Order: sequence, then structure tokens, then C-alpha cells
Amino acid sequence: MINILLTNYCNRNCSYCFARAQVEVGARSPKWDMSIEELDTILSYLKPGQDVVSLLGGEPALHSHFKDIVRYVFSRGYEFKVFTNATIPQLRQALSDIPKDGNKIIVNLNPPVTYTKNELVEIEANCRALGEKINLSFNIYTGKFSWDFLRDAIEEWNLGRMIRIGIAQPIQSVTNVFLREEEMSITSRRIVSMVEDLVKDGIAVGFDCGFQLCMFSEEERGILAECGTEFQFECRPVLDIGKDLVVWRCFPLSTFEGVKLKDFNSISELRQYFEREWSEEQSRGNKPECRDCIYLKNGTCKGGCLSRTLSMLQGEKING
Amino acid sequence: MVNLMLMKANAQTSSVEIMDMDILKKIEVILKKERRKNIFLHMEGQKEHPQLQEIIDFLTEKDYRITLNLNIAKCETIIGKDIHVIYNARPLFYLDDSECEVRKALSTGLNDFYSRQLSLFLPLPAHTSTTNQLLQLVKAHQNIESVIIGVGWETWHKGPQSILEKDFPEWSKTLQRIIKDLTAEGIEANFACGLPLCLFTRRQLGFLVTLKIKWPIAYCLPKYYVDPLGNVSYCQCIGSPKPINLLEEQSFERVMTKFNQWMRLRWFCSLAEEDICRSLRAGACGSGCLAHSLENWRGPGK
Repeated sequence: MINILLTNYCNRNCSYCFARAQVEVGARSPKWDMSIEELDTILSYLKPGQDVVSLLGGEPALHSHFKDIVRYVFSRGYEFKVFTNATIPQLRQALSDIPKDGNKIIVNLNPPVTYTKNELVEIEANCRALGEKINLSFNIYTGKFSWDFLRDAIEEWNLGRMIRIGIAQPIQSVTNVFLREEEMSITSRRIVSMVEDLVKDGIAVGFDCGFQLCMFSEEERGILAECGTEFQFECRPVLDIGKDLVVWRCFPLSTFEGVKLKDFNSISELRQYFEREWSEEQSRGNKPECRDCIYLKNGTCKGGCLSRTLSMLQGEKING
Repeated sequence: MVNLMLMKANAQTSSVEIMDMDILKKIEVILKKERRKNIFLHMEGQKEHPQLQEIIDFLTEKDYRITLNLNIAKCETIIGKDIHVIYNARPLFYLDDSECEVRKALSTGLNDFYSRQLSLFLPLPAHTSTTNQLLQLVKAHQNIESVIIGVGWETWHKGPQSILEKDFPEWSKTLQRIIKDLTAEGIEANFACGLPLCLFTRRQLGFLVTLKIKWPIAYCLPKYYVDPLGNVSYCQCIGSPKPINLLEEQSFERVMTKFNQWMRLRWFCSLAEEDICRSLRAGACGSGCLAHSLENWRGPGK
């Protein structure tokens, strides 16, 4: 799977957004949209029926030709995922008649108080129109988070019964809100409570990248397994491709210079390049104790998010 | 995944049935139509199928990914072929001293595959001496890349090579130690199917998670065992009241619909909705081996 940044523009300005370094807010302009030619070039690196195409932004549904792009990608035989904030009508206009099989819409949902009244109306309209095609995504940036609104949304609008959770990570050279190290322990306990609570209603939870294995005790990991949690303790090059076909390892590291897609023959070559480039930093992990950790050495845990590791190495942000 | 039983013992006639090339070719047409590319090949006991060479050539030419389940000391046919081998370790551990020559021959067999990466199948129960033997074995044979651990439930076959469910907590400690030792040696440890999660303590599960153990172990999905005549069974342990012949059905999907009777029976065996455990509800566990559950449900003498 690779991520295609369809447009840099976003109508929201989430404080924790990991794509902040690339996202434009304020007045919208078509100049921030990826061209169809660029999209075609990216698709030429991918195999239909094998590779999943992730469309994101910014807010991807704000691309001037979003509906055409979705149809184009679908007609070429690719399965796709759309990562969206679901606050604009173009989303349902483009996706309501796309079959569910293999294609997913990931709606990043924040607590309701963070939205305007109009945004809430649009979210509801999109969710009702797209129903089970939607899986919710939730970013944790404080240990005192709640999840009732996620369950309510799933039940009321009949959404897919899986929530993808991520930890808000520090991004390089740009200020954003992220989960502080001292809140990790309370957060992990809260995540376990959330998983146990949601499983009663048949709602499963999946982890995004960047979690640390040692956030959870052996007993807590056992509970997560019992509840069918799709957990991972990975941090690998996700490959975000933006305008002018620039590729970054991932958004939090996108203030470092990217590379040109055309300089590589394949996606696996790109992935290997980024793995090599950052292998030394990644081998350190998020905490000093990671260096002697057996799970980092045997690859079970990648030591948490690389961007967090870089921040730790800089000796700033984490305790800042 | 489809299992082709190239040979099968017939208890009534005390003979061994052998799959011929004509039947195999007819099965292959169905495999191709349904794009099933992963094939497990099984033989019988210490015997090798007389046309194994021809069968492997036929399937590899058509780009099937073959895993050969071997229970024999040596198999010249596959040397140099790009197929994965699962070497059944049971005879190494359960033959008595009077059969030490056979054990020696099997061990030699492992040496013969020295250039080939292979998996070892270890059936439980395993005793302390067995686990030590296992470790010595993987240390001595660098070509063993993984060990697949299966559990022989007492409901399948009674005797010293089986485990009672009530004794599993004790076995699970042995199991954990085996896995820990194997992974310390850099050997991947995996489970065969059919172990419900509730057999493990939460801490054990938390430990297994760090080994990236595949959770389908808690499921019991149809394995499609096709015998030499083309009859299909759900798995090695569950037959069918009426034979289901693949060549008559012409489709694994149609066979699957007939297997659904077992799936329905599983739910019938389950407790009332409010008593269904959260792992089953969450899809994390499929309540383990179906043969084992059915036997428990029937109870003694039913």
C-alpha cells in the first residue's frame, strides 16, 4: 500500500495532524491538486488486484476531480482506501455507488465538540450515505480520551465495526500536538479499557503504526489478543507521494528532503531506500532502554514511531 | 490451501490407495479454475508415491506452490525442486528403542536435505526429554527454519500420544518453554490449527503476541483433504457422513456449501448467545478444533 496525496489542501486544521508540514489551510486553490498525469505515473508502479491505493490529503475529496479520480482508479482494477475527515458533500457524491468489496473509506473522527454545527451535519450525511463502507479512525493525543462518540457513530449510522486508532506523534520541524511520553502509561490502560468495552458491542480495534510493545504489560497484551485487536508495533516506510511526484518516508518526516519517484524502478526499491536511510536512527527506539530490548533486536517491536525517536535524539519536544 | 492425499491407507482392505495421474489432472483443472495455487502433498507412512517425480514436475510446471509433508527418511525425487518441505518429527520422538534404526534413518533424512530450508512438525504431548531432543535437533540441522507445533487431543486418539483438555494448562507451560527456547535459537515457532485462546492464560497470550504467533491457530477452517479417489473431507479428523466427491461437484466452493453442515453444528454446539465468550464474538477465536468440540458435544457413548 502506498499513500497518494491527492491535494495538499484541507478544510480542517486538526492540532495533532501528522501531515501538517504538507497541508495548506485557508483559501482553496487548484494549484495544490495532484495532476491526472502524476496520478497515472504513480499507478504505473502499482499492480491492480495486488496493490492497494490510498488516497489522502489534505482532504482528498477536495481535489477538483475527486469523483473522476475515484472512478478512474476503480476502473483500472485497483482496490483503494480513502482517508477523509468526511465534512464535505463531495465525499458521498463520489463514493456512494462504489462497491464495498475491497474498498474502504477511513473517516478520521474527532470528539464532536471540535466541529462546527455545519461540519457535524455533513459528517452525519456522509456516514449515513456510505454506512458500512466506512471505518472510523481515531487519533489519541491525550491520556484522558473518551470513545463513546465513536460507538454512537457506529451504531447510529451503521458503520463498519472496526476502529483504527493511532497515537499522535511529534512531527519534525513543525509544531503539533502529540501524546507526551509521560502520558503513555495512562493511555495504554485506557486503550485496554476501550478495547474491552467496545468488544462487548462487537466493535474491534486496530492499531496504526508507531505503538511501542512495552506500553502494554504481558497481561494487557493478552487482553488485547482475547478481544481480537489487530495490533502492531511497527514503524516502516509507508511512502507518501505528493505533487511533483516527491516521495517521503512518511508525513511526520516530510520536512526532510523527499526523493523523486522517477529515480526508482519500483516501490520495493523505494521502500528499501528509506529503510537504509533511517536504519541507524530506527535501531535506537523511542527510549534509552530500547537499545538493549530483545524485542527491538528481533524485530517484534520497532521501538515506536521514528519521528518520536528523532525528537528524543534532538532532546527536545518530548519533555519540552 | 488444498491437501492432496496422494496415498491413503484403506483399513478395510489393509491396502494403500494411490492417486493416479488421470485423477490428479482432473483435480488440477478445478484448482486452476478457482485459482488455488497452494497445495499440500501427503503420502502414507514411510512410503513414497511411485509417480511422485511426475506429479511434482506436472504441478511445478503449472506454477503451483507445493508443500510436501514428508514422513520418510529420504526422498530423492524432490532434491533440487523448489518446494517447501514439512518434515514430520513424530517418529523421531515416539519410536521406542527397538526401532532405533528407523529413528537413525529419519535423522539421516534430515541431513540429506541439508541444503533445503524445511519446517519440522512436532506433535504434542512432548516430554522434557522430547523438548531437549528437539533443541539438539534444530541446533544440529541448520536447515530447519521453523517448527510447527500441533496438539493431539485425546478425543482424536486415545493413548500416550494424546492430551486431555483438562491437562492443557500444564502442557501450555511446556509449550511456552519450547517456543521460548526455539525462538532463542532463531527458529520460528508456529502452531497448527485448532487451539482455542482460552486454553492459554492472558500472560501466555501476551507472551505469544510478541512472537507474532498467527491467531488463525484458534480457528478450524476447512482444509480440503482430497483422497486418491477425489473424495473431499473437511480436514484429517472430520470426514463426511456421505462422501463428497470433488470430481462430481467440480468445484471446491460447492464442496464448501456441503461443509456448512459442520459449521452450523458448531454454532449448535455453542452456548446461548449471552454466554458466548468475547473472543468468539470478536472473531479472535473460532473455538478451536471442530473435531474436538464435536466429540465433547457428543460425549462418551453418543
